[in-house]
Amino acid sequence: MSMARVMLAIIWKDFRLEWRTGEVLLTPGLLALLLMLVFIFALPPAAMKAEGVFTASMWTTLFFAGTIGVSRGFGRERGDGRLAGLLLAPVDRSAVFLAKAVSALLFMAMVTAVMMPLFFGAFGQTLAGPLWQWLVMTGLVITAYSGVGTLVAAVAAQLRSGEVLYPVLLFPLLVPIVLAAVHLSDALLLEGGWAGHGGWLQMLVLYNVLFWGVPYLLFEYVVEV
Amino acid sequence: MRIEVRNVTRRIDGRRLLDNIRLTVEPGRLLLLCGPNGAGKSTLLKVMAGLLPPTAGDVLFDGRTTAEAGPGLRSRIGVLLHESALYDELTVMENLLFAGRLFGVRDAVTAAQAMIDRVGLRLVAREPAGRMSRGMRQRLALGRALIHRPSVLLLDEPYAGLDVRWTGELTDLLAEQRAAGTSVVLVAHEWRTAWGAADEVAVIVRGRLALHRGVPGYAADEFEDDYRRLVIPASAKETVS
Repeated sequence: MSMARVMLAIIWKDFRLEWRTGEVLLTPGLLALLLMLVFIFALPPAAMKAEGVFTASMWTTLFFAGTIGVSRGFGRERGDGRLAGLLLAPVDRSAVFLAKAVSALLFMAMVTAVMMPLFFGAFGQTLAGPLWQWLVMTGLVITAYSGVGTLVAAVAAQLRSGEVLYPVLLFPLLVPIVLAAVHLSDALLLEGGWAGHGGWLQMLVLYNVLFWGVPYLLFEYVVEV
Repeated sequence: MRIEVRNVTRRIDGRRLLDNIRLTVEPGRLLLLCGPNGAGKSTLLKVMAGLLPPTAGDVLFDGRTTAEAGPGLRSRIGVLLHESALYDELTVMENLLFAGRLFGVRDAVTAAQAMIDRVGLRLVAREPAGRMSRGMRQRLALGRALIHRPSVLLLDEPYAGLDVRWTGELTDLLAEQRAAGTSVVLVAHEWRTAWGAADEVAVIVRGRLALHRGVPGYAADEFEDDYRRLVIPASAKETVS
């Protein structure tokens, strides 16, 4: 029995559930849309073009919206023995973490794919740097976010007030990702590329290695039935 | 598959939930596990399923510990816990399909359809699990535990919520499983329901194995007397303390 098969089974199940409930994709998507409108109405028109405002608004919106999606994705496994049901699968239990993190990544990618062009349009921004650099940066940011988010969701699922504590536990860990996302986005919008910002890029890569690798190794000890 | 529970102890915060439990279940035999509330029956089942680690001791399957056998061993174990592990928004078919895929069943669609028939849920196969009655959910949860044709069955209160017809059907199903060589450990509060299906009976009181003997030649009334003698003093002491 391969890990890949078990992971595919869990991801298939998550998408089926999403199709029925819309909890992980539609609700965060709607929240992101509402937050974007709040920024548009709250900011003076001149401020919308000011340096850093667009990227800060966009990434804050995506991260807030993602919090609901990632938390709910793991939260579904809480209760009625569902997490135990997953842990009984005949593969290394890290497969459960990886599957949940990949599910979170896919849902986050879908919300991002819809919201990013809307943000660009609403704020009247154009990309000065190469598109591939923007896509790589976005990919690294949402991948790191999904890894951290899934790990914290797994830990929160063990706690009595886990759903309430989730954002409190998550956001301090997200600070480096937010900083890297905003700095690199500004560089791509204003400077035409990420040259000279290699440190932020390296940090994103390191974050990805850390928050996908460590939970992969330790997931068995993080979860208890 | 032979199950051997070898001196299993589980402690939490200094409290012994299981205390040096020793049990063996031979292939094709059914062990009925009884005991009062909080005795440690469900904890023992979870330790046997590999969901909880023992503080001391081991559970061996065909002479190999769970660590030696690796995670692949779980493909040979079917578990029904007190909770159903079902997804309310998924249909009956989807719940079974997911379980089949999770356990690497080769033709999961055919296996799920066959299991739907076996647990009598054909008419509601496309209904979400959340809309079903307690008894139907229990049958679906049983199907989930059986879909990968396990050699070991660990069942926590499988008769809960079943009507008279399906209580009989479950007893027949357990007989089929035993005939196929499956070892079964069954926790039942209403032990009389499962008495006819059992080969052995064990009683756990306060985490300790208080009784373990064969069922043939052991009258249910005699067991009831023994059970009361073992259980009631323990409960009385708890009340006093």
